[in-house]
Amino acid sequence: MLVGRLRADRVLQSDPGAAALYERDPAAFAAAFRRYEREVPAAAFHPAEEGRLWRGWRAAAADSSPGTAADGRPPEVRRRG
Amino acid sequence: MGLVLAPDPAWVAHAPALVADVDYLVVTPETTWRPEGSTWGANGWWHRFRELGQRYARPFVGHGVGWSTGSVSPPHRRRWVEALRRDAVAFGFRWYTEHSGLTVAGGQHLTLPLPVPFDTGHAATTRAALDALADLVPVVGLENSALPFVVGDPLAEPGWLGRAVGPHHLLLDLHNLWTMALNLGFDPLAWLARAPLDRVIELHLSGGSWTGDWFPGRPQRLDSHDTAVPPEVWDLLDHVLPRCPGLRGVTVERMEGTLGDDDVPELLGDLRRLRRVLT
Repeated sequence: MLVGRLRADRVLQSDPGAAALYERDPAAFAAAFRRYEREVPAAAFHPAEEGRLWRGWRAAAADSSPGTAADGRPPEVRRRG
Repeated sequence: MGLVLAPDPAWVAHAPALVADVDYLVVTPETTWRPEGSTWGANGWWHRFRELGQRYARPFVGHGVGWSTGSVSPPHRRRWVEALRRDAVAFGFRWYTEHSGLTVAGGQHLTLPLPVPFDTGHAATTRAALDALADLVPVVGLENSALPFVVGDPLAEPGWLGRAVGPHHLLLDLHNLWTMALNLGFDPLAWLARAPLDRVIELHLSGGSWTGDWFPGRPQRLDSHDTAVPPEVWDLLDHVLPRCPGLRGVTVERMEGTLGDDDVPELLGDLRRLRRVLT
């Protein structure tokens, strides 16, 4: 839980879109982050790299489930690996 | 007596008052990096921190978190070696310390050091990681991390640290020790009685706080570096100071993002108290 919380901090610090989602709808961000944590390995060391992973995941989510990104709800994406 | 430089505009705004009170500055190199292709370049803090050291004529000590001393040749080390070699020259680190435990496992970055078993194999792995660091900065040390749990008996840790550091040194973080004692339920003086205090090169002091409502179960003490040094940690300092013959410095830590204008007197108070203790 502590490791996950630190990763969420890194996402929020490195991606303005994530920070905006958190401010607008904390529950939606939390749900999206939980899915992100399950589906995307923590391969990034630097917060900027974590931000890129997050944006890539959100973009893939938007592609695979049109319309869900704009309303801030957790996206439907295919599980990796 | 030293102070960790925090990559935080609010912290740097108070630097004239803070740096004036200390003898050396501690840099966590990875907070001064940014990705540049396959290497780590210098970000703005790298230049700001060097300027601070030059302006106030203070030497630097290095202190990392992400080397992952408990890992066997993790893939990220190649980039680290290149960046640390550059920084060791640029900052002229007097010595360099890293945390015990794993921050990289299975290719995943954990951010927070997690425990390894206190056994011979992991002592050898940690020793090899320190040897590799010593190729970059000749004098290196290992910090007792604030571990959220341990594999086995927490009182086995100090003896294991002695085996892991070998000819290198120990950085004894007294708030980490106190935090673990509270969370895991042991006597910090019993831990210290088993520790190789003759290997201690540096002591760390900081404050911390407790988990909030978000944490299920019993509240946990966090090594969050966001408050004044608590009385119990000052007591531990009084206990260990006469027992560390190789001590070179005592460092105060304060986390970026936790130093508002109202907090500065508190931090200055800690620094002045430490000066009195050391003189």
